[in-house]
Amino acid sequence: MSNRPSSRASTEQNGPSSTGGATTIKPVQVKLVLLGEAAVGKSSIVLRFVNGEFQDNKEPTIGAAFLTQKCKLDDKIIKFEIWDTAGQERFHSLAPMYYRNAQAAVVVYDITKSASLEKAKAWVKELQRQANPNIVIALVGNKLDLQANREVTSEEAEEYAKESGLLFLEASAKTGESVGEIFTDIGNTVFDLAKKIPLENLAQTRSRTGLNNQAGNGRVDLNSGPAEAQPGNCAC
Amino acid sequence: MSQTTLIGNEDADRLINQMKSAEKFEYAQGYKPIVEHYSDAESEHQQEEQQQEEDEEEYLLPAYIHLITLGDTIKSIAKHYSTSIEILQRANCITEITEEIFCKRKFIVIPSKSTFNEFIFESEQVFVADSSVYDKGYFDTHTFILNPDYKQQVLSGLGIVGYLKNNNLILKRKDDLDCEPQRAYDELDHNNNVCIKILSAQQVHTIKQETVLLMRIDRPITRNEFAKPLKISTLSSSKHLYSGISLYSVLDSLQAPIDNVKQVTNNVFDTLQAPINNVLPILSNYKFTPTELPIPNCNEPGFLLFIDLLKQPKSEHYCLAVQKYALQIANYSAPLKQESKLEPLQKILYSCIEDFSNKLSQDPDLKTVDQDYIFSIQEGLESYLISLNYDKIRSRLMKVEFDKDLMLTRRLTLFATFGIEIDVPTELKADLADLVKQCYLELLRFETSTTPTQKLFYLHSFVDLISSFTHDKIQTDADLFLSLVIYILQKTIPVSLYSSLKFTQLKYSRHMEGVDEYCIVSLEAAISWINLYDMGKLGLPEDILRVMSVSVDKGTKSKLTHGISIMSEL
Repeated sequence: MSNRPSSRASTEQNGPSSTGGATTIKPVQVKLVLLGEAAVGKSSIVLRFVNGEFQDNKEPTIGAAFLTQKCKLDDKIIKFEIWDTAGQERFHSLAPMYYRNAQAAVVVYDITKSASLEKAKAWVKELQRQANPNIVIALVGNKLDLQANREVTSEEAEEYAKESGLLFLEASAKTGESVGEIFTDIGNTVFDLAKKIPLENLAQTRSRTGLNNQAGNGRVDLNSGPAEAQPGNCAC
Repeated sequence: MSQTTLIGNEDADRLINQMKSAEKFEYAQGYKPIVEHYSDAESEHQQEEQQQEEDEEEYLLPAYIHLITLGDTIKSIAKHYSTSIEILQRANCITEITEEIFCKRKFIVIPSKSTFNEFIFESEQVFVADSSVYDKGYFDTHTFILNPDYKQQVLSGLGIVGYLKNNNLILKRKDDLDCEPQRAYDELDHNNNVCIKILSAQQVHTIKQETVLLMRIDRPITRNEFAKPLKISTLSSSKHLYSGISLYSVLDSLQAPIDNVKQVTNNVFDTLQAPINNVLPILSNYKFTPTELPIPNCNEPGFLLFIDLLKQPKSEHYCLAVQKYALQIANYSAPLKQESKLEPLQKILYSCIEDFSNKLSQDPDLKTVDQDYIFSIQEGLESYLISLNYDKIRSRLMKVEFDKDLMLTRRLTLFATFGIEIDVPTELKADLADLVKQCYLELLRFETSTTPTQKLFYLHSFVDLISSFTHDKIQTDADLFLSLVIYILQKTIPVSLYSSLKFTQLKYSRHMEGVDEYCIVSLEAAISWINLYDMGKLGLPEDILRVMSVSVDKGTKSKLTHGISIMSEL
């Protein structure tokens, strides 16, 4: 997947939307984890996505550690529950606690540091081995604004992403370039996946924490929206 | 050990024969017979002669009777008496170790010298009815209860009055009394005796929904004041209801915390551990009123809403449901001894809440209410049930968690003593002391609150403090957040963090997601990191945690003391 122009031109505000002013669409909730080496810009990407030039987020947050953001994808609303994970090596062993039951993961590397791509690959490998088998993984090369210092070519990363079945994007948290698309692509892929995988399977993986087993409680319920999902840009 | 024995002649003869048939080498080393003779007809001279003889045969005599109590296992008994399971098996005709090993057994014979504390076959103790539990009364009661014509017999009347004398429970049947049971009961010295009144069967029949109120206890008693004849779970099937809630099973229920004993009359469900199926058929015909429900102290909005619902005129069937659920949870949580079973308890709890929600949805007055209202009620019911059983769940269900609490406290104590390096940005360090002080109070509230909702609320407060602390200075990412949590934990040394966290996870409601889940996972991650920390990095030996003497107790008092010291330091 190659870079695309930023899609943040959309002017839709986040928050509950209505179609035709009559029916409130129930948002589909997706747990998304951020992984990557320390200082690659994980928090910056998510803050750009959540705060950006959009309205202030009204949902509870914990700094950049936990954030939520709603996106409108055509006629569906997706609510990302974004979990930052501790990237320091000394906290590495704790990561599974964070990505447990995640439906999506954004693995970030710094295009100006080739070592960060290797670390990202290690994260991808770990996710593919230990995380929810249906997890949607996006590999994101950050700091696109620092082209002059680039150490990782777009082709190299894209090839790896293709081999590993990952979404791939290069973005800049600083300028906002392609940041919205990361989440748009993930949202569309999650919707596509929902057509192939029985809802029960997703629900099972989501309830493993034992924290909440209640049906219809706002957890991932991909049946709650209209039946057909159309690819499109994030309208968050 | 209880001083009461329940051995009759037949039992003793049988036991002696069993023992005689066993091989000498199977008994504990160094065994020397203590009870030389069972027969009270033997003269002293004969006894002396027999004592001088080779002890082989005397090895075969029972030396001590251990009355089985709730929580006993064959292993624990063997350990207690410094003998082996095999010896106990042989002495008690136990062919196979199973979970039902104590089923229908009142006692275990201990054929070992080290166990001997008293002469158990002295004639005056065996044959003087007033010196021991009047077993015949128990036996008669059960024979009577198991009789298919029990209804007719119930109407014929059954009355027992009991009191405690010289540490022996004395029960007198109606026929043995000089007056009516009620009068005999009234005339007992209630200040000095544990007084038990068994109502007449006529009354039992009439107020059968309150059968468990057969007994009134007038003062707190200790466990050893009663013999424990049977495990409650082995008592009966639902077919014979009364055998499940007979005198002895009620006595059995006194193994519940003693403070509850006085509440037997109005809070029987908390103390009664009888199989629920024995009780529910009776309860189903009985309508509880809100005033009969124990109301824990709780100020959660959902909880108050739920109580309001119960107090409405048409709420009797809700009351019944609540009683049933409380009993079900108490029944589940009480006997667990080995390891934490959080998930099964969660299932019961969720099942209760969903059942209750179904009841709500069938209520014509509530059909139109919105989902938020239903969720609030669910949350209230959850808080109600859990706070009602808080002590039981915590003390009996979470032994594993308590051990982990202790281990965590030890590690944190070492961290605090030797100091570990936590990455906290320089610009934050100046204000950390204030943050620690505030966080300490929230953690204290988190640990001492009694419902998952309350705990979650205080956990949020804790997290909010950290989040708002860094907001103006530096963006809190996951690394910083986790570092701050670890830093605060090593400064405050909470004593029941892990068990409180597990308790919070009992929470059912829909709100247990998103940021709630993140808070919990972050705290779990911090605990995990602390537990995995290599103490060698502090220059400490590997077994330091095992050998160290922990100065921080689990009790609230020591926690408060510790907190005060933190405050003074700050």
